[in-house]
Amino acid sequence: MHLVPRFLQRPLHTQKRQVTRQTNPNVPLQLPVELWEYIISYVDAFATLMALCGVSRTFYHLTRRIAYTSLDLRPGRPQSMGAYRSLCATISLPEYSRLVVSLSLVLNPLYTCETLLGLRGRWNCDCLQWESMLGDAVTQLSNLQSLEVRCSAHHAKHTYLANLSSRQLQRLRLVCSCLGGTPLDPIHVLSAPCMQSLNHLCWEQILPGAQGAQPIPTPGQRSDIVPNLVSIWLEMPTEIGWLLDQRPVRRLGSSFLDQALYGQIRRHAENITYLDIEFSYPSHQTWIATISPSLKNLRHLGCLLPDSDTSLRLPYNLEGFRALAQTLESLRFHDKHERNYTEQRRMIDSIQGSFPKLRLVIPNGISEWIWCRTSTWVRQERSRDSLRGWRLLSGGLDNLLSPIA
Amino acid sequence: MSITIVTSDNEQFCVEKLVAQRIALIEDMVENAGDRPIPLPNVTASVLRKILEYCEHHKNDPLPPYDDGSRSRTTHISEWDQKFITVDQEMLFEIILAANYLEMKPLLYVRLNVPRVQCLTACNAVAGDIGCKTVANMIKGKSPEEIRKLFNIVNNFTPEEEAQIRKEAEWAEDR
Repeated sequence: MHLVPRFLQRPLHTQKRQVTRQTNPNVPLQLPVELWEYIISYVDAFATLMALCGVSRTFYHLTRRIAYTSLDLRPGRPQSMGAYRSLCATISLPEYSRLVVSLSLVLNPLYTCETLLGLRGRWNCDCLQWESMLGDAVTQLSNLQSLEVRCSAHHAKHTYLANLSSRQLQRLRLVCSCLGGTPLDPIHVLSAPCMQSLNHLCWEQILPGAQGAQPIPTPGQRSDIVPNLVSIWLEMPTEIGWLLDQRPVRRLGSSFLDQALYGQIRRHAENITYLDIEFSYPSHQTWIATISPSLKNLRHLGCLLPDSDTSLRLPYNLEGFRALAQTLESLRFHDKHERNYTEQRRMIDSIQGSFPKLRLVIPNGISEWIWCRTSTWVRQERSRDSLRGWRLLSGGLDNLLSPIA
Repeated sequence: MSITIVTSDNEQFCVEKLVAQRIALIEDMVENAGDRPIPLPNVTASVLRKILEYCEHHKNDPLPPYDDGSRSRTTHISEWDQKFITVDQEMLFEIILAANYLEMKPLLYVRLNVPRVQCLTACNAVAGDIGCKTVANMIKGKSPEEIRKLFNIVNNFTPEEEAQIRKEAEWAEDR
């Protein structure tokens, strides 16, 4: 088995050396390539990654792969149409388009329109041009597994979603609130060949005409639509609610809980392994506690609310969830207090008293810590983004849980 | 109970078993060696002294937390560890290399994002977390030329290749 990729096996100027100095002591000690690769994986500043690309051929090959495997383009980055153009040109190159596995984009007209106010005081909007450019590039990413698009551009159609060349797409999140956009037909996109591997989906078009206007698929179409879907994240009552009727959804995350969703949770209760309601109220929690005997396979529950300002009350809150004691492995709860290590630890011990199989606790709030249990409970620091909502549902929880099995 | 370790420069260390067993390679060798000294032909005395200092300090710690290999890993280093790793670059590299030698496979598992075995050792943490984080922190904010100078790396790009790389990274200059 080759642990080191082939390109790393050729002779390098940073050639592997013995641990002890056996040659000329005046030659500075060097690290082998595999250790450099590990070191570079700690670098997250893109500017530094790009600098590393320019160090030498070896560093170029090592860093390019690390830098482009997961591209998370946060709001306003890149900050100009010129930069977008350059990005699209780069990721369209065959040697780069193969590298990108995960792409997260935030599209904002403040950054995608070159000149917002043109001559004669009229808006000069570049959104469609931008979308066409980006869409062409995204469709060429042949190994794309995860795509997240949060769009508030003036105009965008997102039709490129049906034409992706990747056949490995597992996670798709589209949140679009274009003012002048035309609602995209989810049936057309979700039945495309590139969506056949999709496991995790979040689809929200918050634009005029999107809600309630979309057709529901006919029985003939249903089998072609995301046949492998197992998890859905809902940010508002959605136009793809019908998917919940047609797929054996095992993971359900939502930022709300309404009557329709009550019905869906009840309907899927025996299959659901993951249930996370981002902004729940005490009444929601009581309801979930009521149906907890039906949630026979639930492994993750969130996001619970402590019933008072003191953390010590939280375990009492969990009394209603006793029925989950034999299955629950992960728990997320809101915690608006900053607690020291000892206070957190006392709370974790108390929670575990109710759930002996618990291996992961995510206090969602000020803290960026999680608690994992192997032989004992260990506190780890994590980025806040990875601990909530869509990211937790669509793989983040698996990354946290699988190693501590 | 203690065991004896012999370094590449023939220095002998008498080490408490609890401390030595933090190093997986030694733990494996203890079972086969019986009462005989354990040779470490790839580690010098000065480096082993540092690694044992780390193991002694962390001997009662729980196993290091799992690292899923995601890009969001923190480069934070605790206060004691920071002081421990404040050494010259030569020693820093020696520590990383020795830790890599003493427990190589789990380190590779980490790097390749394959779930690693549970028997992680403090020694891996030296190499995987502290030493490598320190080097990563040294790189931050540096230009290619500064990185080359810092680590004595030869620029083997042709001028055309350099121009091409600059062009490919142009978009990131805005970030």
